[in-house]
Amino acid sequence: MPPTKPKKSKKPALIGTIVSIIGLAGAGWWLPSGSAAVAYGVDIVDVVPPDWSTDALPQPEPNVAVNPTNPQVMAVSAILLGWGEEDVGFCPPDKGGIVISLDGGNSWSLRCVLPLVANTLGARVAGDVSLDFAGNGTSLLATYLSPVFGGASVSTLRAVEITGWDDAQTTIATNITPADGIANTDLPHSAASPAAGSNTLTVGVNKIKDDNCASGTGATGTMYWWINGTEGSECVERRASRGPTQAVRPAVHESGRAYGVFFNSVTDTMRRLVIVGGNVANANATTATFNQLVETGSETDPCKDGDGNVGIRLTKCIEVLDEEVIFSDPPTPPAMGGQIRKPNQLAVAVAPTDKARVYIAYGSKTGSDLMTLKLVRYISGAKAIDKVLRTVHNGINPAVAVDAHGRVGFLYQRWVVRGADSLWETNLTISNPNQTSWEAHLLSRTPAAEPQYWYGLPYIGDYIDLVAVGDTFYGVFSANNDPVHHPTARYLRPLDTGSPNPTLPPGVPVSMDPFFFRAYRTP
Amino acid sequence: MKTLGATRLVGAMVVAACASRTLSSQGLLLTPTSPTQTVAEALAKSRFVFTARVQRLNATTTGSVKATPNSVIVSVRADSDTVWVAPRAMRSISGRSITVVVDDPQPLSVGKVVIFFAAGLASDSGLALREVARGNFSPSDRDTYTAKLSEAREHIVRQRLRAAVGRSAVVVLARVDSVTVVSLPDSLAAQASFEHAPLWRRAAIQVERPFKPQGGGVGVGAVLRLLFPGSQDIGFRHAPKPVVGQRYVFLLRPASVLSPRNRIGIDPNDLYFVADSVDALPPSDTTRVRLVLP
Repeated sequence: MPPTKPKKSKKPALIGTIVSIIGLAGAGWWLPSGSAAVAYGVDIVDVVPPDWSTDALPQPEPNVAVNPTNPQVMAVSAILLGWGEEDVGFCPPDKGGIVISLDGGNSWSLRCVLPLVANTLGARVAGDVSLDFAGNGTSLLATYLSPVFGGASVSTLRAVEITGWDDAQTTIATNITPADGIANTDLPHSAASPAAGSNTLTVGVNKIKDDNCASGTGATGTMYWWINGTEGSECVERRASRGPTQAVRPAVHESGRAYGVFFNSVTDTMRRLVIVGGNVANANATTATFNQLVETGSETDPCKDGDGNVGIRLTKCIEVLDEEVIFSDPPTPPAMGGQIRKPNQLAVAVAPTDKARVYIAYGSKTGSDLMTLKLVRYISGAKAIDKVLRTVHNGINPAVAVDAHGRVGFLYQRWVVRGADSLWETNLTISNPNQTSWEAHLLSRTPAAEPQYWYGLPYIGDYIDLVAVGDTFYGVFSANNDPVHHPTARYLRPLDTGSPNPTLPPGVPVSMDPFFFRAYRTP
Repeated sequence: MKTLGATRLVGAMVVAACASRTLSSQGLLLTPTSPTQTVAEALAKSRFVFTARVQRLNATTTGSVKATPNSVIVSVRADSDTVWVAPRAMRSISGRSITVVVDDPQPLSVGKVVIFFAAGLASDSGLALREVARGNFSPSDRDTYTAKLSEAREHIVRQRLRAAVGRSAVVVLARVDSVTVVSLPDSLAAQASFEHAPLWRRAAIQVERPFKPQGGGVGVGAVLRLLFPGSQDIGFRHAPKPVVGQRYVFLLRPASVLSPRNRIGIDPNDLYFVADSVDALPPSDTTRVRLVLP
């Protein structure tokens, strides 16, 4: 059966853009300012393959990578994409799936490439997958956890280099990490150097070990890197921390300038956003590099600045929603209709045009919000944030990217309450090169109560993803897959087109699918 | 609570007497002495088991797989009772032309009917699988293969259970008396809380029937303490979540096996843990457990 599209006009991009603008206006959103015309068209594709007609698995936490030397080639990962137990998995038991496109995102092929390692008795999972193309364009780099919980060991990090994607027979994954992986690591997030010809991967992790980064405390934020295959690592959280560093998000400029952002835990609920700076190009891979942003002074109050330590703290002590508020015991449908994970609402990007210009999105609890997202601009070397660019109430899952001209893309999901209903919106907003004007696109709006909260699995997921190649933004998010909520999206999986509006096939329940999108400049 | 998955085969689950005939075929050795062993090995690696007729050699149905001497187009038989295993989220492969990448194409010829054990290779506008094993097939073999697959499934289940029993210090039928949150000192609680932490809960269970160790060690009425993951993360979606008042066959490992990082702040003395679905079985699995005891 050919891929099914909802009925739409011959100019889907323009219609989609107009629909999104109207949707925003109807929602009380601001309209583009600072520019006379809408500059972007958006194409959206549900990447679940055509054969998966009855798929009802939740597939959150998507990630995307686009080949910088050939943007027609791209890859998307998501939980339970192709793998799973014996009656739901497609891939062999020892392989995890990703989808690959060779035609710019129009069609997608599920491939079984991620080597999976069983936990204590056979369960194989690929958790927290991050995808990046190496700057040389010849390798797709994947980092992930497998196993997620090893029984005798905590989760294990693996990184592989995938090649041969032109033919599924020759698509192989070669270990970057040692064959046994790197034990006792959690929450990996990766960034490849975009430099032409480069093959450098940087991964931020929560490194669970006896001798923590700040001895006797919970400080565990660690950066790993591989420069042409040579491994290095370094503690990046040097301050005492009450709890583990939940996430370290890296960003790498083509010059080798690299940044990491994470939260330092002052108390169970109070944290400070920290940025570290370093270099991962032409460096001795075994020596420390993330020590280039330092606070001066000898202050001892953790909520005040100037303690003389590595890492600039960009916020005061801010409240961050703690997991126990959400993961209640016994479990109950959490607030915001979904799940807010541990305080790891973070995203970072560095401008290709200026290695000192960094954009960070982070979440905290302010006012009556459960989570407030802020997108800020930071100039390397400064002691504080340069400017707060956007504020989103009840937003989660931020993702940030900067295009070749300095335009900033900000992707996020937002929980909205309308009377008795609650909704999830997925929004993309793109700035001009100076961030003085923004163009907003509503990518989806779905009921938060459907699919129902499924005990034991992330619903909305911990993250979504956004990258930029040239002046085009590419992203991925997971959402309720009912076609009625995605009138401009193209579906590869079959739909029932018998009714006026396409629906999922009879008997197939609504679930979470990964949606890829491309936001491109229109003439 | 999950029973071991002996009933997951698509199609009939007729358990027949062991086949008296020998099914010998290239790539899938079935001998009278161990008819299920090899089928079990193939089944354990497979996501698809089906019969198909070879349509074309050196060909492919999808652009994701280049035509090579190892790529074969096959027409899956339209009768659904010869598609024994397939992912239930996929549309049926019955009656479809699909690509199978085989290790040795030489014995294959157009028109030949074969049973394939295979796993996914690519799924897009077409479907491509990678062969795990294959054998000759004729319609009269259907019931025999159905029986052999059922036996193989049971073999895999028992093999897994045997391994689990082997690594367990204690195997008991017990009732759950209480479940509590593990309380840690303040600073340790913070360190033990990260995204993929197990977030241990503690259960007290009263033994109704001990199986292991045999000949003493754990008596009827004994109260044992065990840890189980309280995390709702996807990595723990199959971890047992014992419920007060319910009875289970528990396969218990000493908590001392856990690395200190996996049990921060928890004294492992006189404490066990369960973490996999096979570690807490329904009482109906008692017979199967007894069969695999050493």
